[in-house]
Amino acid sequence: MTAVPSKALASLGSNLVRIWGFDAATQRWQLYDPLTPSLSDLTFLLRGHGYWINVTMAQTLIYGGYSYPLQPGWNLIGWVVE
Amino acid sequence: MSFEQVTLGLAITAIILALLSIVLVVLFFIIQTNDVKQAAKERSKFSEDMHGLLGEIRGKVYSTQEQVLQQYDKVLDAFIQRSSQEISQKTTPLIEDVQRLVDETIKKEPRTEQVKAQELAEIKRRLNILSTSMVGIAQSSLAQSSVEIKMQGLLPPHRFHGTVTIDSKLAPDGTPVFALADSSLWSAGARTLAGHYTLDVLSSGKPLVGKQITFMIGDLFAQETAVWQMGANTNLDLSARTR
Repeated sequence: MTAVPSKALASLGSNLVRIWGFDAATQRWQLYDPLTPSLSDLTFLLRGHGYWINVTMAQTLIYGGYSYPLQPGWNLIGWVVE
Repeated sequence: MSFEQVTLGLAITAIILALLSIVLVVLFFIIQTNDVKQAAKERSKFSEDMHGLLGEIRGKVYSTQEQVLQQYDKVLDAFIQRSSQEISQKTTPLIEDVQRLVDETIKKEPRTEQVKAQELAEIKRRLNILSTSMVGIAQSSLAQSSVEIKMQGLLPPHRFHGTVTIDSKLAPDGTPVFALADSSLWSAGARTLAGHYTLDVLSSGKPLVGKQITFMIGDLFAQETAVWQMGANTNLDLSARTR
């Protein structure tokens, strides 16, 4: 199962501000911003990778049988879903 | 054919020749002027390209130098703070142990030379342990500081994107765009494509939070500035003037 940000984070709705990932292979940051999807270059959430996720309110993200409790502001999470 | 007719014919021929000459001279000047204009245009384009290239090279050199220096400074600062605390905390029991041994030795009644030599050897051994421990703690502290600084570099950047104009015209493809804070470069150079840019301004920890960012378009300063925020994504159209 490939985690596309727009689908994997859909349950957060408008609570999601944006999510950043770091691609160690290219040494570049990748962004998914729901407000500017055309400028977003984070296309997949990969298992075993860490992501900085910003939400406006506390919420638990549930995806693929895993839950990620998120606090308002920036959260650093490890993506465990295949 | 009368003499007058011949004269008139010659006069007309002369006038036509004169007019032709004038046309040729004018054409020559027009061609010359166009050539000069073309050459000036090419020179200007070449000069522009060279300026761009120089700006890019200068930017890369500054960027590398600054990054290396900033990295060393930060590691050194972190090391000084960490090592003094750690050395003090971890070596205090060892120092106290050596001090106690020295005090006990001084208090003892007169002893044989052999006993004295044994006691001195023991004090030396413990001092060696202390010295080795201090070096080890410093090494570990330095490694830890380096890792911490690297981790700080893993904070998400502030992404800027938008149009780039020079003298109100969209910048040509490949124009380099850089970000500066405190007169230092803080981004890998981006290049314009179809008059647009996307630039990630990275912070190596706290230093950039709330700081003003200025932008360079090639070797020109952009009129717009921004304040750095971790992980932000900002639409900022950049513009610069050549004079």
